[in-house]
Amino acid sequence: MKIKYLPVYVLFKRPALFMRYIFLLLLLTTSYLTCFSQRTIRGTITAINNSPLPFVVVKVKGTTIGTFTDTSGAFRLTIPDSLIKKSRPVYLIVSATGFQSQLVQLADYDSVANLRLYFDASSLDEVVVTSIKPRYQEIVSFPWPPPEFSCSTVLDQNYFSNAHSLGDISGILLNALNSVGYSDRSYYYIPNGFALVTRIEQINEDGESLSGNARWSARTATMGKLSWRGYLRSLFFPTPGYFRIIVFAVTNKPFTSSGKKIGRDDASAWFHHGFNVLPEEIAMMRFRKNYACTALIYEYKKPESDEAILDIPSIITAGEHMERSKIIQALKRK
Amino acid sequence: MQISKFSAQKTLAILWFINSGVLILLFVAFTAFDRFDGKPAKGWEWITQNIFPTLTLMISAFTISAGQQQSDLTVDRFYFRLAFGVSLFYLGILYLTIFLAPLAFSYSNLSILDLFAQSNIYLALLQGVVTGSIGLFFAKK
Repeated sequence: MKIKYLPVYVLFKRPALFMRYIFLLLLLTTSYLTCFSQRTIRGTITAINNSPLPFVVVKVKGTTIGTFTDTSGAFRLTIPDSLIKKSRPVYLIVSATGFQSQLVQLADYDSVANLRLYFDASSLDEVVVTSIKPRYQEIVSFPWPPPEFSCSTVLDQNYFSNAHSLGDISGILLNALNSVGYSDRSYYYIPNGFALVTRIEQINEDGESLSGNARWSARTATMGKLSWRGYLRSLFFPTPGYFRIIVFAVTNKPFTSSGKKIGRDDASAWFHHGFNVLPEEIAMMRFRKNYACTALIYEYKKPESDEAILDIPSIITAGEHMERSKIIQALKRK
Repeated sequence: MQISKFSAQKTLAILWFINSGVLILLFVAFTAFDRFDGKPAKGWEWITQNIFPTLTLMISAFTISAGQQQSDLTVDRFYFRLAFGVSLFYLGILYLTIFLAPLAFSYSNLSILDLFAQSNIYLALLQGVVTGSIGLFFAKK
């Protein structure tokens, strides 16, 4: 079919046709302008350990405009300028299962939004209903509520003022523990947090760690260097051994002891059955102000001729235990 | 060479009673200082079974012979020396067991009560020898 082109002057003779052309022209121009008056936001969503998070929903608050991140955690979102002008400020909602949702305000000049999401166990708890077993629950759990302890104290929040995640808390505790000789420990999952268990150590009656090999020995330390005084003391007086396990419980859930007493051997086994490092799933959890680090002291007295018994209550306070183990001083030095 | 039986009895009795007194005083101190970790009966059981049979034998013999005229019975000095020597050795082993307790705990974490329990193995054998040698003076007519 041959297209018949009308000369331009015909438009002036036929006003209806002229108006139709004008309308078409305007429509095309508006569409063109609309195409170029929008903003594209690019970014990457990662977890706290910098691993990319795929399939994260990135959505403009109050609209249906949204997208998902790809396998490399990247996303690209186009926001019409009209929307930006209409609803100031513009917020992006970033959400993923198992992570805390984030609300990010976009400034006028923002075109890149790289975000980190924090692991959120509580949101994952809700997912359990759908019978999906999250990996963090496969992590070895500490008996919870904790068995009866000799004494306990909540550590000052100031020691962890720079922490953003539970991994940071673990790092601060590890630095302090390493500096005072507690190089062996293990990790357990507890509700919304973790428990860090130190190896059983031998202490004196005042709560000070013994020196040398005796500190980590399961055998009661005796008179040490042979002396008449030590010998006579050992002859006429029993030589009990004092042992201590410190459990740092980091959680935002209040707790008390279960009332169940645990023997020295069972408590010593905590050190062998936990994880050597804090599992990533827990380390990624965000450290909020409602979190507390509680030091639970399990002190055992081993009479010379009997089995070790849990000392309840300890003759010194948990604060004194923390000071005499020099952990508090190490935390202050951090 | 002969020795008066009564004189031998007295010498042996003095040896046993003095040492038993010392051992009992030691155990009283142990009990006072809670050396047996709240289980004093176990400690006393050990000392009772190791010295009281001999002491009872001696006391019985003296009770029976009390008021009787001293006989002119004599015994071979060899038997007396044997009984004295065995008694001395036995009492020495008892002391050694007690005084070794701090070292046993220091080197092998063996508590005093565990050491007493283990010492019964060799003390039971020795006690038979002691009772036999002393019985010559206190049981035999």
